[in-house]
Amino acid sequence: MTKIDIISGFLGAGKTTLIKKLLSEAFQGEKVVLIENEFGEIGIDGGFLKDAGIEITEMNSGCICCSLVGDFGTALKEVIDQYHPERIIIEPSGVGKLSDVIKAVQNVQDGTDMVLNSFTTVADANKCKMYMKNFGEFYNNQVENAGTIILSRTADIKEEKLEKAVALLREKNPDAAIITTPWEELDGKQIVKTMERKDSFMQDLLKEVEEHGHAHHHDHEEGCSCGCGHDHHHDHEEGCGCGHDHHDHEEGCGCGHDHHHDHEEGCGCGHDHHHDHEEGCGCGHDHHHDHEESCGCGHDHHHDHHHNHEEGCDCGHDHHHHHADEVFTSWGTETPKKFERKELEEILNTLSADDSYGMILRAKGMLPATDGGWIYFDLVPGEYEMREGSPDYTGRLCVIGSKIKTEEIEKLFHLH
Amino acid sequence: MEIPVYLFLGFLESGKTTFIQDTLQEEYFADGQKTLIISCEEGEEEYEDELLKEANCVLEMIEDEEDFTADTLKMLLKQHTPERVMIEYNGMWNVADGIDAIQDTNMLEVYQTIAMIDATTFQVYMNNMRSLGVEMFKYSEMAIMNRCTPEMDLGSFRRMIRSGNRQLQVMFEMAEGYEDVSVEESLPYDIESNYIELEDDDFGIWFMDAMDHPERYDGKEIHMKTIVCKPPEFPKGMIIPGRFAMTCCADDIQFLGVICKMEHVKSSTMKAVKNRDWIMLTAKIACEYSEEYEGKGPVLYATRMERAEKPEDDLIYF
Repeated sequence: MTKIDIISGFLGAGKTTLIKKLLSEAFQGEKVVLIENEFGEIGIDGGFLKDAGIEITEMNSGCICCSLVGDFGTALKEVIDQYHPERIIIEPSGVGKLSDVIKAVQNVQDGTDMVLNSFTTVADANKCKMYMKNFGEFYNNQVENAGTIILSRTADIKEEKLEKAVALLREKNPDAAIITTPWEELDGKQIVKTMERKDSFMQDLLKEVEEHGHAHHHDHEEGCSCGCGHDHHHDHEEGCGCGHDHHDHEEGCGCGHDHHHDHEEGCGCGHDHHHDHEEGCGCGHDHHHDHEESCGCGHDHHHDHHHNHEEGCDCGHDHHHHHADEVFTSWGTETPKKFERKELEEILNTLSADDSYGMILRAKGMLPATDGGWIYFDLVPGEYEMREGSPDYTGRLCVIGSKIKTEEIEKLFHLH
Repeated sequence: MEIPVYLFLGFLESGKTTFIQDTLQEEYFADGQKTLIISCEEGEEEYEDELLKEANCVLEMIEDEEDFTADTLKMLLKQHTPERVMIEYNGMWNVADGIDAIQDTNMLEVYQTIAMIDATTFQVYMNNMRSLGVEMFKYSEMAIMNRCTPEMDLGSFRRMIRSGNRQLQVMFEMAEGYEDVSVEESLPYDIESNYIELEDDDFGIWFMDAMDHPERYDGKEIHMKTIVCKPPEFPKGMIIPGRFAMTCCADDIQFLGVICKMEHVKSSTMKAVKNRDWIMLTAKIACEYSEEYEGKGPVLYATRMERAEKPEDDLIYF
């Protein structure tokens, strides 16, 4: 299998620096081919790449007045046939449209074993506002179509400016992960994980809560009313832990419903969620839950993981999980905002003690501190813990509970 | 009477706003005339309200390319009744369309077009957005390159800027903390020698320099590979040897050639040389008046012509 990573971004955004970092910290030992546009910023004869055993080929992307040259697909196939690489990094023209490159890759994808692994845009945090305003189409195209946006030069930027930049990017692309932490503080592997959208912060927390946080006491001894006549053996060995009961109807329960539970993706709720992520929302949750019909066993299997993107918190990830049997919601946000340790302590104090923010079962976060460190916190009702952690790609927090008042919480964290 | 327009071209962050503000404060400009500034770009530098007020200026923004029309301009003129107009054009917009819009008002006349260039990003911008750069320079009378440092090859920058517009005057402004340097063309051959052996790739450099300074080459001998242009209507005994040059992209190739007289070569050789032939040409250069040049220019007198192979790359670049 050949993974394709597209790294776009305007001239001078820092694509070259990023690619070099990834090559030396994340792709070591992998067979990598770098496809550069004709006028890329990496010096082709750069000893660094040759030493690392990286093949470089050129792609004729034409100048801004000529459209993406059609033989790109052929060139890509040739690269695969010739080198059989594990990974191909494509650095398209800085003034090209990312969607064109994605399309070009997708057109060749069929019938080959290559996978479009990631499509990222690097943007200069200091300049993205100005570029968005004045460049128009091609720049916005790069922002809108990115799975992940990696901001460069965030180390010396004023915090308000960074927050503004993130908010502007969010307007154009509510779903992308936005890396705001200075690159020096991050490991290349961490960046790749974010680019690949393999991060499962929110799901992990949800799972944790479901395992320990709220047990659904189901009393089956008296016989349920489903009438299928089977013993409802609950098999939680695979670590579903959601606390709901899954009927193992392999022998045919006759209730007419399909109770096949597929745990492969490990969402943790234990239900089979049709995963349909073609468009790559990447939030990691599944958006198609169709459990409306009741099996009649008397237990409520209705899980509505409805993701509500309408209320639009600024992170763009508006994660509302309503469980009909015990409605609980998870809400998460991302922010480059730095916190004072004292200030955060007060916030957590309030959040853990005060029920005016809803019934909070669990909260967790990793947030950058004003002193340059990172604060990780864990919160359960009446208690919280703060500790030092390693830098994350951006500040993140997640709250799970019932009837949680997200707007109030955002205010509490000074996110507005 | 038409209102004069000063048109400022250049990519984002090339220093347009700063230059316009500086100009407003210049004595020759600060005569109290009411100036309308139309800005089509919102960069890092912002206009200072105080300064604008003092210089009797009003500032208007046009944010979308579709809005840069004769109608919009006329409306702004009506609204502000300025005595002159300065336009800070967006570096990504089509220059020809902008100039058309200005002319279509029938109220404005472009007095001067100045292209601003940031030396630190020039190369990479030209590599990736050559067509936009070439268009800017084509319509400009003056180009000002700022943020220059001594280690930059400003001579080659100037050549690139002027490749599509040889009337263009290029000025260099050093970055803060650097003394002015005199920008000498670094030529790939010895200009002091009486014999110039020109490499295939260097034709463009020689051509530009010989056109600018024909007197430098007066009396010298040159040996170079060229393609012959010999239109049928051309007087007998005269050809135009030259090279095809790509200033922008494959759609924009132009022929650069010089006048060559063949009175010193055998008539059989003369007849053998056909249009589009590649030849090794040896010739004496004279700095002479020529109608084709509309003035003095380098006129070649061929002494030897041999059929030659097409060079590896038949195009030259700047």
